[in-house]
Amino acid sequence: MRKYWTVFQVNWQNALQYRGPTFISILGNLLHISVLLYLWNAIYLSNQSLGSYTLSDLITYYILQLIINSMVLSYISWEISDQISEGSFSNFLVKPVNYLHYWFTINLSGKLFEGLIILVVGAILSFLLIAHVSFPSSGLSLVYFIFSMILGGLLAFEFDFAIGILAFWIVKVNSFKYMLQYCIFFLAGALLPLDLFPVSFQVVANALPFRFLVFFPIQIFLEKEANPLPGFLIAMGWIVFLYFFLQFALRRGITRYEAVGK
Amino acid sequence: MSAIEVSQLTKTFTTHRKEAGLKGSFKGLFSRKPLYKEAVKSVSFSLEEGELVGFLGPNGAGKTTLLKMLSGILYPTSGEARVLSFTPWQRDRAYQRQFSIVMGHKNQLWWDLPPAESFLLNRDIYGVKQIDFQKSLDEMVELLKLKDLLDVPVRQLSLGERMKCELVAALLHQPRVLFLDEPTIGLDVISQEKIRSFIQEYNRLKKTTVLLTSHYMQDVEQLCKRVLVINHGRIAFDGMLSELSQRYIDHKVIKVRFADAQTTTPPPGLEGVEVWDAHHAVLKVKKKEVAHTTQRLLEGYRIEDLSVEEMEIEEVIRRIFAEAPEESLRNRP
Repeated sequence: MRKYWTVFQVNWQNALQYRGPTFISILGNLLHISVLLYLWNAIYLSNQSLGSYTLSDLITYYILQLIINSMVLSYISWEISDQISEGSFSNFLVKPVNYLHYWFTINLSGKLFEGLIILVVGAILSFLLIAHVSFPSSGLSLVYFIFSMILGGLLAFEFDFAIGILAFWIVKVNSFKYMLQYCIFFLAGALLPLDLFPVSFQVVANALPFRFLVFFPIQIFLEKEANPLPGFLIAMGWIVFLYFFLQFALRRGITRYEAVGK
Repeated sequence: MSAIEVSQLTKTFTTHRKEAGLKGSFKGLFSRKPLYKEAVKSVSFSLEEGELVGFLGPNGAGKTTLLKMLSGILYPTSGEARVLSFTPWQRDRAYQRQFSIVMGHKNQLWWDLPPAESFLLNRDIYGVKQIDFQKSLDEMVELLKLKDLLDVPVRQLSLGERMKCELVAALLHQPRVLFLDEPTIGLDVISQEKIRSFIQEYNRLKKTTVLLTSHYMQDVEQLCKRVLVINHGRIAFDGMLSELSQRYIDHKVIKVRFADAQTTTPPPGLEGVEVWDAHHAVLKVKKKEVAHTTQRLLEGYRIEDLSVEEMEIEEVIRRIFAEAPEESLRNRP
């Protein structure tokens, strides 16, 4: 798979060109999270704990969320839907390259690049807040955590790719895409830990695969997930299912594209 | 065996009629009347291996639609096509490794990176061996004088430079068939000329079959012996460029410069006068009248310079396009 390795390297260089914007978007996230932490801090002044979360748990939750946002969550759908609606998708259609695998590689290379930056930022942040960060007590939890991040990354890519190729069917996809992405991130636990919501909501969120993106890995890190193995299996099931589904959807989308042409 | 074989190829686009205004949009939610646009109508032609053929036609004539079908980007409504004995819209990997399409108004290079990176990417996408890659890259860089541009980010290149790089990117895997859709569009005269001579030279060296669309007459005049004129989705003419002028040009142009000042009114009985002033005259006359008219001019005036010219091919094309759209002028079965 030499061609995808080259795609990986070329995109890495492209990412280097965009290191400024990448850094700024991380700073933006950092600001967002600082505000949330400030808010939580105020809440905790009158309350000793919220649900099963201590203040340290929540601080850790948001630092991890910051890292996951850069290393796991995928933001490729913008460019995919642009390519489809503007017609540069044709460039891929005439070449011996699989669009899904191509974007998987681009996403992977981008996430690793951003990951390097965020790890530095996360390390500095943890160091500053060392007194308030809950680290896992066993090495195994850490291994599970990393594995769950990989699964989350695969799922996040698949969801975002699905959103991107909606452009085959919907002409003006942008506002719709915003809504979908927001729903996914919300149900993933990117804004609030899912177990702070009412039980009925939790039942729904647990049945959906989105929690594997953010909530599930963080639960493992905080050692609130007694046995992550069933979760791993379910996530892997979703990854495989979505892979075949996306290949199918892509074929259908291309049929549509072939009829209209851009 | 022909490199490209097209028979009865038809593409009909379906769109929906939308009545003007808000009320129209609202009605459209419930009942939509389909509208059919026949972009390509039952087109047939064939190209031999190594031929360089020009596709001429105004905007919306169906040139791009045709090229897209031949590259597998569009699925036809009906008809057959074989390129290198593949059916293009099956998008066989083996076919994709043997052809290329360059679209003048689409960019396939990575915008923020130097073209060299996009070349490497194409090398591996097409699985070109490093030796072959380096050889064809060197050749083309030499022909197009691109040496200094390889490390400049694409976004900093001029349109002409970018087009050259697009061509290189498309040719690195040495395709046997090349489709060029308006390769010179928007370029200045010098860049156009460079692109043209490159295509000509490349076709001569590599015997690549080239199908080129353009609405610049010069592209076709310089590059192609054979032309396909397409209008309203139909082939209006398929034949040699020279034949095209013989068939449609029944006039010649006589240009005269007088030795001394004349009256500004042409003499009575002289036909086809287009310009007649004190020092110059231009006359458009039927071919068989040329000798007679020339003689009359030479006898009647002191003439410093006289020339008889062919009508410009552009004018010929304009006339074909102006003819009744439904009437096909195909001269091959």
